[in-house]
Formats: sequence, C-alpha cells, structure tokens
Amino acid sequence: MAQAWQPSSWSEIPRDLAGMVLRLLPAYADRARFAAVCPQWRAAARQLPLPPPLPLLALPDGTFYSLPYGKPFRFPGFGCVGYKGAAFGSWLVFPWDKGCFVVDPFTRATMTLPALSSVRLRPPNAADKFVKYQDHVTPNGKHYVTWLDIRDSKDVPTLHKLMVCSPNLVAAFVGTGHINQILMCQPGASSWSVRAYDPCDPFEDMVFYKGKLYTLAYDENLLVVNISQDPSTGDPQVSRIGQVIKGDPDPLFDAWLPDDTTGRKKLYLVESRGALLMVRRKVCCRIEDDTIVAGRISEFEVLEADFEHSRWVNVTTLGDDQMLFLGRSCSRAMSASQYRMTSDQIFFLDDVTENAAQYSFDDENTSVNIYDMTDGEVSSPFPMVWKHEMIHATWLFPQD
Amino acid sequence: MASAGSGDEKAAAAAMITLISSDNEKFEVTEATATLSQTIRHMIEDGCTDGGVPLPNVTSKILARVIEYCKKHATAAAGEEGSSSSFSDAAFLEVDRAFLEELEEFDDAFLEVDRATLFDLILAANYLDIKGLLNLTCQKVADSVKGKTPEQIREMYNIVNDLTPEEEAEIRRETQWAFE
Repeated sequence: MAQAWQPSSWSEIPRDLAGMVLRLLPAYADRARFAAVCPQWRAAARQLPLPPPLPLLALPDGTFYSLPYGKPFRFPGFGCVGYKGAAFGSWLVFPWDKGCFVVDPFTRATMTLPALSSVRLRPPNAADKFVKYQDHVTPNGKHYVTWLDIRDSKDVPTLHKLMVCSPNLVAAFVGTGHINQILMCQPGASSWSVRAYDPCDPFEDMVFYKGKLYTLAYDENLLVVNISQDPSTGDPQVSRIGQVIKGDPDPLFDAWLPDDTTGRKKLYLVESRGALLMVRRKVCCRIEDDTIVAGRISEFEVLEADFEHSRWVNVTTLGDDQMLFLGRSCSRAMSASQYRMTSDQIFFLDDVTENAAQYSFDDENTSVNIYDMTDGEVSSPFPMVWKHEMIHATWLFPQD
Repeated sequence: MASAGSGDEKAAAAAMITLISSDNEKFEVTEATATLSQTIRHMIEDGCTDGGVPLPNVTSKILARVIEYCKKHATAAAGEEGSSSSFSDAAFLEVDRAFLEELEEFDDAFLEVDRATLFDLILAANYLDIKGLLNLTCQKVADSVKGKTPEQIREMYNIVNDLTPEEEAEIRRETQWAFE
C-alpha cells in the first residue's frame, strides 16, 4: 500500500475533520472565530452542514451575547439598537414611519415591509360601513373590537410580533395594549392586508408549523389561519380562520397563589421534534398600590397539540434530548446532548408583559433563567445581566 | 489465516493481528483490540490480514499510542458485555461505574500530549476509523479553541495566516465583532 498524502499542518486537516471540531463548538462566536483562522477552516465552516449553534441574545441597547459567554458584543454600524422584537430566527425588525425595515445582522440581508400606517382593508369599503365597537355583539352578548377601532383609537398601533413565514409571506400581530389583529404582506409590497370586521384578540403567539400559520390567544384556543392570494396583486391575505384546538385554560389560575398576590400568564408556541407545543408560563405577582410586582417564581407547563382530538395534552418531558429557548418574539427547540447540555431545560427571559407601565420587578436586574422540567427549579447560571426596563431582550437564531 | 506466525505460536496467533507501522515496526495485538478500528475490521472480514496489516500513514510512535487506547477500550467493551446479563445487580453496576470513571481518567491522561502528537492522533483515528478516539481528539481541539481569537488559535496551532485581503475584508465586515 503506497503512502497516501498526509497533511503537514493544522490548516490542512481534512475538511470533514474540521467539520467534526466545528460541530463540537456550540457558541456562534466560537464558530465565527474558527472560520477566520485560515482559508481551509473558513471553507469548512461555510460549506459543511452543521447543527444550529446556540442562540444569541440581543438587547434593545445594541448589546448582544453569544451563549454561553457573558462577554457583551456589539454589531458594527447601527447594529441592533432600537429593534422591535426579532422575527423568525435571525431577523431584527425596525418599524419606521415610512416602512418596516427588517435586517439579518449576521448576513446583512435586508427586507422592506410596508409601514404600519399603510393597511389595505378587506373588504375595501369596510370603513364606509364602520360601526363602533359598542355595536359589535357576538351571539353570547359580548362586545368586541375590530381593526377599525384600533385604527381610529388615540394610541398608535404597534407591532407586537412579526414572523417571516416564507420569502412571500410575512405575518404580524399589530394592535394597542394587549388587543391585536393579524396583518400580513409580502416583502417589498406597498401595504399590509387586514380583515376589517374580524374580532381582535389578546393574541399571545403565532407559529408557522408544517406549512400553516397558527395563532394562539389568551383563551388557549389554537386557530389555523388559511391564506389566499389577492387575485390582482398576488399579495397574501387571510381567507378563513378556523379553530383547531379548544383551549382549556385553568379556571383556578389564581388559586395556586397566596391572597395578596395575582398571577400573570404568558403563552408560547414552539415546534419540537415535529410536534407543536404550547408552553404555559405562570408568574406570581404582588400588588403594591397600582403596580403589579413580578416575583422570581415562574411555573411552566408544557402541552402538546393533539390535533386528532382537538385538545392540548400535558407532557412532563420534552423527550428526545430536547431543550427549549422561549421568547416573546421567537422560540425554538434544540437538541441538548450534542453540546453536552441537559435535556428538559427551558431557557426563558422576563418578557411576560408587553406594557411595562404598571408592571415592575422584585429585582433591579434580570438575566437568562433556566427552568428545569425534571425538578421544577429555576436557576440563572449565566453571567450576563441587564436592567428590567429592557424586557424586549430577544433570542437570535443565526443560520436560518 | 495465521500463516505469518511460526508453528508453535499458531494457537495464540489465531486471535492475534500484526500491525506494521510506516517505519516498519511490527505490533502484535488481539483481534478485539484491532477491530476497534473499522478500517482494520473490514480488512479482517475481507481476509487480507495475512502477513500483517501495513499502515503506511501511521508512524510507530503514534501506532503505539493508538494501540494503548484500543487495548484499554477493548477491555472496557468486553467488560460491558460481561455485565449486561446481570444488569439488575447493584454490585455489578457499582463495578461498571468505577470502570467508567477509570476509563474517563485514562482518556484525560491519554490526551495530555503536545499539539503535534494530537494532530497525528486525529489523523490516525480518522484513517483507522476509530470513532471513540476521533471524538475524543476532536473534542480536545474544540475545547482548546473555545473563547480564543483567530490570532490566538493560529499561534496555538502554528498556522500561517494566508487569507487573501478580500477574505480578510469579508471577515472583518461580517464577524469583526467576535474578535474584540
């Protein structure tokens, strides 16, 4: 057997060996530095399929962290200062008067979306037949708010969540306070589209799961949003909304709390190993004068969508080596053991409430916290801390 | 099969394999040790190990270390098989745990080598297709670059920076933040 070619320097190690080393680097920053060592290692990092790295954490002041490191980084240029929530993975959203600007700070790709003031009503003449919300009554006698009420209220509608579902479909929750409506558009279009007569909801989260858009409101009903195309412009629009799971929110939600306290609930939707999960997070709060003070206690329940029986089913383990990263703007499941981490851990941020005006926290600072599903304990092992005022800290998932 | 062995050694040689390093040194190992290497396992299955297995990519110095690793882990594999039938026996589990700890200590000590040896071990593990040793050595490299700047990594691994100015500019633009 003749002697085969042998590399003589570390830069010449075969590409798949470089790939094996890269796969053992969970931090995005470490992979970026590995890729800057020499052309051969750079090629390996750019061309080999690698499992997704651990997410980064972006703060509204422009600081970001590459987990598990506590060292603060800043993107060059305007970086991520002033973003309003991440959208689907690596995109950061900057709503401006003239349009929404969406940026991927890693690849520097950009997308322009219509301004929130540019909304096309469906039907187009809806405003002519506008009836104030006092006059909208559901069969069970409840009043409801429509997009027309939001549009005409004194508060400017704000973007609460934005999701890039596909290159041709962007969906968003837009509204005031906790009340939102679903808007959608395609990147580069001149306006969003909205169904003017639909009741608005306190939407909690949405997910693009197996090619379909689902939304979840505070009542824990899971709705599927069917989408069609405008025949003339090709722009996406809501065609029908159907309930696929009837929620069963705990009627005794406050019962687990002591007397002088109140509860706050936040729901997250996340796909894990092919299943759709709803995570119900309860925060125990104290009431002091007019302010709700959030304590450090968070409880988590994980429920799996059982589409066949139209119900949520409690699960005690994520199974299959999974861990969760939960965030108001983006949540993701990831396999744990590949990075020598433990499964059934839920990484979460202090992002329970949107309107911080009457909401404060026991501690001055916050960080990433981890809820351990196996024993219900919460820990904060990471060194980074930031002020609670920046509750819009968000996960960024590069490589989407 | 054992035509390489002399007559009186035939019985023992039946389960022994001869490995020949690039500098022509011969190593006698048991089949159980040798077959931790998928490359050698396939050669045995194909019946092409008569007269020894030449390994032109591995020096005697490195082959000796690789065999040391395989011997230890072959014993571990045999031990696991032996105890699996009495899985419920707490005493056996205790022994297993002690053995695993010992194996971990062995691996840690085994990796106390200079970068040049680590380099040769990775290449040998890759060439011989020894999964455990490959994982172990790659993990060692990964752990050593964690938190280091590209310049520190180049220094550590004696790598000349031959990125083109274009590549340098691209890296600065995309990921300069990660080096500060």
